[in-house]
Amino acid sequence: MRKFFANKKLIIVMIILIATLSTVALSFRVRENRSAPPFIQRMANDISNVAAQVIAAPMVAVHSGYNQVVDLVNTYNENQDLKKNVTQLQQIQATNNTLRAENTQLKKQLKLNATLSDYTQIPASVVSRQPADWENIFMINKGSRQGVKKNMPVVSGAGLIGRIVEIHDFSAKVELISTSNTNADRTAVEIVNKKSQRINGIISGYDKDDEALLMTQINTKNTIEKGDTVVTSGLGGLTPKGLFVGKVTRVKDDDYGRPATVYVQPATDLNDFSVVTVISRAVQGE
Amino acid sequence: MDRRIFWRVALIGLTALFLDGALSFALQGVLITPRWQIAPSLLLLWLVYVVYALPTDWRMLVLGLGLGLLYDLYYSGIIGFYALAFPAVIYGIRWVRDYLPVNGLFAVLLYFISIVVVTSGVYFGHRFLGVGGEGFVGFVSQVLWPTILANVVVAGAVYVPCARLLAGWRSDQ
Repeated sequence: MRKFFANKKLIIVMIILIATLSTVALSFRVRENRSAPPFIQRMANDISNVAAQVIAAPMVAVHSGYNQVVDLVNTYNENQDLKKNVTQLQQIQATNNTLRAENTQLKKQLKLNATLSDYTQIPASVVSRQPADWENIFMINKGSRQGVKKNMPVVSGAGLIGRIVEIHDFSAKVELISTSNTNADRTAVEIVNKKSQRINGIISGYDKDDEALLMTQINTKNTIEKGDTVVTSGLGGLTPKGLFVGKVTRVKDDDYGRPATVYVQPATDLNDFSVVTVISRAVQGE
Repeated sequence: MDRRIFWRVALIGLTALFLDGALSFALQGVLITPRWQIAPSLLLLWLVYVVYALPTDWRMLVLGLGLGLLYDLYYSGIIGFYALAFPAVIYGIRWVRDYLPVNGLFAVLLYFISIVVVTSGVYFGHRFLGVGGEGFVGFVSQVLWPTILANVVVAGAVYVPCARLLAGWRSDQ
């Protein structure tokens, strides 16, 4: 034993390993349990975010320039497709306006100030993305000073892409909905089938081969078909009801013929986004 | 190491740290696909080349620790993995470089070994915490090899300008 402790290098290595394990455990616990990290960590992240924005600026400019060129090339075909939808959209918009007015009137009559589907939007830009992507985390330029809170949902383009996992004063970290993090909070969703029946479940993972989100914990005998719409159910956490998640591509049944796993094609490309919107639900709840 | 050169090394290291994330974001459609995930490792490349080419002292270990801490803080929020990995790589390369000739082949080889050790170590650390559910086979085939391949190509491409820059700094000392 005396000989063991006489080996200074070994003792130093052991101390370093113990210190590292302690900081890993402590910081992991802080990230999972606290609404915001300590002041020093928040400040370091905010300063880093400014530096990252400066360094990323030329690359972001090239990236958005490339996207604009691609959009320009696709403009003609997109224009043809959009023309076909314009007449239909006008009709839907008129119906929506009528329904919205009717909904407001009914809420007033019921003295409802806000419901699960009411929310406000906080637009944000993506600054950086975690290089080793097994946590599926990216950074945005809006934080608690702009009203962002931990666990708020984040959407991009047509649908939901993730949630806030770490919040600082002027920046935040977002975890993608496709994360394989087993500690991540899961998003409660519902399928609206062709008969307008609603089937509840949660997004519990991501299948890389199918490029689809996995919806599980489904308890229903109702029919789920390819093309059915998947939206957030508004149950639990800070996610409002009705955010578009994607479309059903495949249903895998269990041994009793009930749907066990539903494969959902995300509404947005999870590897191509630069601007996102943080959603703040009007009705708060945990 | 001369103080002026130390701060130059630190500044470029800091830039490389944020460039890693900026590249991951700007090229996300290319670097992150269902078939492969490539993690840019410019900061690690810079540290390896500096320690391999310049005479360094304990301050380089402190710099590695500082950059590792910032890397953990900014990209993950779980502090410890890169804060341990970067000083360990610096220490290891300082230890072996005296036995190796100074040329591009050995520099890239050292970087290759460093990237395998750091990427695998951080992966297993995350697996231990339940963060990142990629299986081991999937990790090797879809993350580790594409990451090594892309980064080694970049390391080979930038060796000559980096070696010239560091040789100039060495002669300044």
